[in-house]
Amino acid sequence: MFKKIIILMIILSAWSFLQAQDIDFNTPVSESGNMTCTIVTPLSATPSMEFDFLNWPTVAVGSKYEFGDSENEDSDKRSIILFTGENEREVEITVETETMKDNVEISFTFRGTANPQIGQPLSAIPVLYFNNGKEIVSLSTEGKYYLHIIYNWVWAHENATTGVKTFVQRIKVQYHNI
Amino acid sequence: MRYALAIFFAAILAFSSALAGHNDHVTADAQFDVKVIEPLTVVDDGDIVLDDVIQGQIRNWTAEIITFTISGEPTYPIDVTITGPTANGNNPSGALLLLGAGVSAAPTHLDASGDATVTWTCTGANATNAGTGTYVFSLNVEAKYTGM
Repeated sequence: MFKKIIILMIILSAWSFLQAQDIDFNTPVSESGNMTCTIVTPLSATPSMEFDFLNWPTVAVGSKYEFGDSENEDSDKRSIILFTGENEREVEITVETETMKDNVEISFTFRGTANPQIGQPLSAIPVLYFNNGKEIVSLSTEGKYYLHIIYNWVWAHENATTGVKTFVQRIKVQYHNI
Repeated sequence: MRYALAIFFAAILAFSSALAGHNDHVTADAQFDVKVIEPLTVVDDGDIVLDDVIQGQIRNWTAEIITFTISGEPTYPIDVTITGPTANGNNPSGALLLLGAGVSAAPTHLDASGDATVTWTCTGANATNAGTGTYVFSLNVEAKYTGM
């Protein structure tokens, strides 16, 4: 009886071994390869303004008007541009600024944050310096970033021409490394 | 003397007949040849993560290529079945179109080195009608020896 059990075990072991060798004859062999491509949300930029920009102060030739007591830390004149896109992606911001027109000069500071907090003072929002002409920032987990242009002062130099002056700050944004 | 010689030759003749033997075996050989050849294998050089594309836009890039190498017995004929590229069932809604040369023709023989290749080339993507998210496309290459 014991011998029969041993023989049966040997036969079963041999069968399992053969099965493990994949003994089917000329069985096709196959391999799959994948290509993966991620489509990201297009970027958009939406400008908005804080307070009434039509209510800019009238500045006399030869005088300088400062907004707030501490310029860009408490100025009440701001432009806010909201960038929206793919969550947490890096974007490159570049700016073309206009600061002098007809001998009227304005000064402003760029600050930006992906996660603005209610009641957050301006001074808590990081300053953007645009070294090398651009800043690389990350969109929030909701795919947002807020760029602030905080106006410090306007100065109508001597021999400035009178009339309404319009200064345009062009902001460009694109995905980084795409 | 003459009589002795006759007896001697008769004895030699009798001995020779005895050597031929009775009912000796006759033989013939049958040959059974078996040629053992290299097993076929298919391997690719790795999955590819393509560059990101912005929804609604078309992007081109330097050709990205997946190469499937089929290896086996040199010069043997093979049957190759190429399935795909197939879009993954979990892809975002919408249509992403891969650009480029696509998939090469299926080889019919292994070369002198025992290899054959299938290539899948992509040089860009058209996301004009694509949804956002990650698209996965698969290509399957299946090979077997012909006529076995």
